[in-house]
Amino acid sequence: MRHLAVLIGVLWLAGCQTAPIAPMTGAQGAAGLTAEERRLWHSAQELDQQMVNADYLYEDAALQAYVAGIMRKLYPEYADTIRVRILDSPSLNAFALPNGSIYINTGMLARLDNEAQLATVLAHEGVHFTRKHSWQQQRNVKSSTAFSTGFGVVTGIPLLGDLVAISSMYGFSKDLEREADVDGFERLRAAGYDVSQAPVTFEYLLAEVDALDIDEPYFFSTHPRLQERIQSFSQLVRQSGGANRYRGEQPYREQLEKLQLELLQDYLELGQYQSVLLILERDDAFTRYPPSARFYLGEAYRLRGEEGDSERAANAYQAALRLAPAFAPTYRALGLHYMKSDRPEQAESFFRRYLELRPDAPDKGYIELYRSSLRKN
Amino acid sequence: MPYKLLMMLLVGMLAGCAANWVRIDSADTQYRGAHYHVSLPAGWVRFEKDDTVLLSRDGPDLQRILIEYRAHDKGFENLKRTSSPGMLPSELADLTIAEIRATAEQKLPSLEVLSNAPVEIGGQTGFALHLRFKTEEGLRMELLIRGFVDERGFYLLTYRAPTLHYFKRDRPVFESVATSFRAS
Amino acid sequence: MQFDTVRCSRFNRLAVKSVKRDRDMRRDCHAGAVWLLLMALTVAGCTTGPTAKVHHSLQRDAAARPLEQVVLLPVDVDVYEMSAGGVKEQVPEWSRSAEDNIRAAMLVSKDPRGKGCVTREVDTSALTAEEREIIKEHLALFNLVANNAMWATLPANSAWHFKAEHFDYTLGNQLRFLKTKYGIDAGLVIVGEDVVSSAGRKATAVVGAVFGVMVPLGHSVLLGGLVDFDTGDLLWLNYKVASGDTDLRDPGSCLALARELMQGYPGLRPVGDGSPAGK
Repeated sequence: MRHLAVLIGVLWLAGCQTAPIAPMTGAQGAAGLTAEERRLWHSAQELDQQMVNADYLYEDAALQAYVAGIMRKLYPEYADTIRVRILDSPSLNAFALPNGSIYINTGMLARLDNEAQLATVLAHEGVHFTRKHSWQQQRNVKSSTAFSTGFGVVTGIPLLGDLVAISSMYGFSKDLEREADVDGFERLRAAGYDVSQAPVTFEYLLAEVDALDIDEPYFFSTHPRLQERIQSFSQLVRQSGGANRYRGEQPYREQLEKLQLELLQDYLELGQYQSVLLILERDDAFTRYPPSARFYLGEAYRLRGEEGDSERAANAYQAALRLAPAFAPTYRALGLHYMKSDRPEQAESFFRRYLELRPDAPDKGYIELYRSSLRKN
Repeated sequence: MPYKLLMMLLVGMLAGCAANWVRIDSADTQYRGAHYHVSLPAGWVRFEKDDTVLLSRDGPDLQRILIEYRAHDKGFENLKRTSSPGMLPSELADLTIAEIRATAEQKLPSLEVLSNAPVEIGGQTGFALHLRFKTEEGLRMELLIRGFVDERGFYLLTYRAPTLHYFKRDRPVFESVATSFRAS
Repeated sequence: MQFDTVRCSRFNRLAVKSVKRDRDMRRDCHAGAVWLLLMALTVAGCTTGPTAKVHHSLQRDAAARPLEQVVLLPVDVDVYEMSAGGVKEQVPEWSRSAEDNIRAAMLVSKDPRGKGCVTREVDTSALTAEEREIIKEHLALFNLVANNAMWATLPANSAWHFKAEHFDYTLGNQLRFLKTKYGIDAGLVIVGEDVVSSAGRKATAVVGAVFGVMVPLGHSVLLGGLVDFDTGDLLWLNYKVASGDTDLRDPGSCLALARELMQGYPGLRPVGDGSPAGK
């Protein structure tokens, strides 16, 4: 019976498309694709529209132009085909679609340190498009599932699950990811970036994933895949000699300043205080963030709520108050802190000042309620 | 929990578990559960499980009113956080928003907070949220959420419907249900 | 990170930035209705008996809603090929063929009076950008309403049967501008899905049959709804599900399924019965 299954599988595989997949050329759009490749292209177009429909894109023309400019440096001949888009999501993720759309999350952008690290991620993702990895993976999956279907049919063993769906979360095959590393590395070097930042990018991401105990299924959030990238890029750096070149720390920080602050607020709104602490407890945090960011540090301690965090929060708020006295949310935070510490006069003072600075505060109703409660007591 | 409950209901219905849905025929119908009681709108259909009540007029994926009691240790399961009797209404509101976003696709970047203010619910001080987001098809959806805590747990009343036609039309029903709500 | 090709079959929205605005509008909204409907019908095993639903006002009086101009809104049909291993891929060329066939089938439909029929396809080039966005969002609402209407009226949902007896689903009245400004009374919405088995899949099924293992082949699903633009009421809603023998890429096969779908359509005779129109 097993011999029959193998025979059937071999016959099917013999009938499957085995011609090699030609890489994308720079000017090629959907027109130059085979009928099969056009199917994935078409589906990718749909996903692009879905992102627009649901308002998933992060609207910042200057940042968008900056990121697109990096992509053009890496892939100049694909300037008309590759489109980088920023997704408004704090998750650690970036991905390439078969139609040249490359997405990078605001969460990923905010976690990187400099332009060379961003270029590492973009260069890697770009190869998935130029080498048509989606099509290769799709073809492999269809062949493998066809074989397994035959086997299962004959022997009664249940069919394999949907490999495409699974692998889309955990990345491409090891070989394809390695190809993306090698080709992407060359792109990085040709564009003049400091290639020593390539493994550092993934070491940094790995530290984040470990520290935050992230369990999202995305490629850039999985420990084994990040470890592979570190090993792969470290080897490439050793082979290349790794001359120090452009990192672009200052322009990166300037471009990301607004987003990084927004992301702190986003993390707090999602209850992800650990991410805020990881960012703001770094020694160099306040060389990169404005003084008002100490408010977010205080909020993160408050949300964590471990022993001693109430005092840590208060200290952070007080520091924010000293260094950024016009930043209204600090007053609200201190008002709440003193209210919970049973110090009504200080609480009232800070609530009043908060509403003076922000008379149309969206949470004015709560503040007035708390002030009323303080007066009654 | 609400999302899982709804998916269970839908799948259960598809499998023919019709008995759990009951039409509310009379205007005097009340739900009296272990932790709260509330008046139910005549002409709607209800589903009850574990002190959670789901109401709909046209289908729970179109418009729905969900009334829940959560023990404090299950206050915000998706965030892995508990609620507590001493939580301020603004804190409850913030965590409710966080929980909605945490379970949504891409963390729901389109979510807008239209209003967020304190409110009285059955004599208790709580929060009232009015939210809006867009589905992946570009359909605007709005939510009204009221909630408060007491010594026993966390109570939530949620109304969700498309902005087009349904939200405004059925909002008075939700307001009536919310007005009738009392913790037992 | 790899693009999830299978996930895309659930989100069959097309809004390719092209000159085909009609398709742009419709495409965004399709997948939810058909996917959920198909799941409902498959799990509930509910494909026998009459499925058409008619607005309660028309149940009382079939002539209650005189419709002079009924446009066919952009048809949205997705055709997939299923591989031997069950991987589904949407094939854009096949989808376009199926849509062309559906459009042709709908446009030949006449009612005995020559009125109240689908008179033409909608031409969105005359609409403003804001009006197109309004229609787009209403089509997304249609999907949600159709899903719930079908679900609520499934035979197993006895507590919801009053919705079938008093069918009153609506999209609301914000499409009224189509009547007051453009003179259109109603719109016919058609969405569908067709899964075509590859040769490998069919071979798998043959081998499976030999060993007593069922390998699902394709299916065809059409869902249609008639929306009164003045009130937003859903005047008629119906669906048809067919096995893998139906192929929406084939004009004859498509026409046959469309004829079944249009049974119960207010005022229409079955297509192609030779009766003169307008007499």
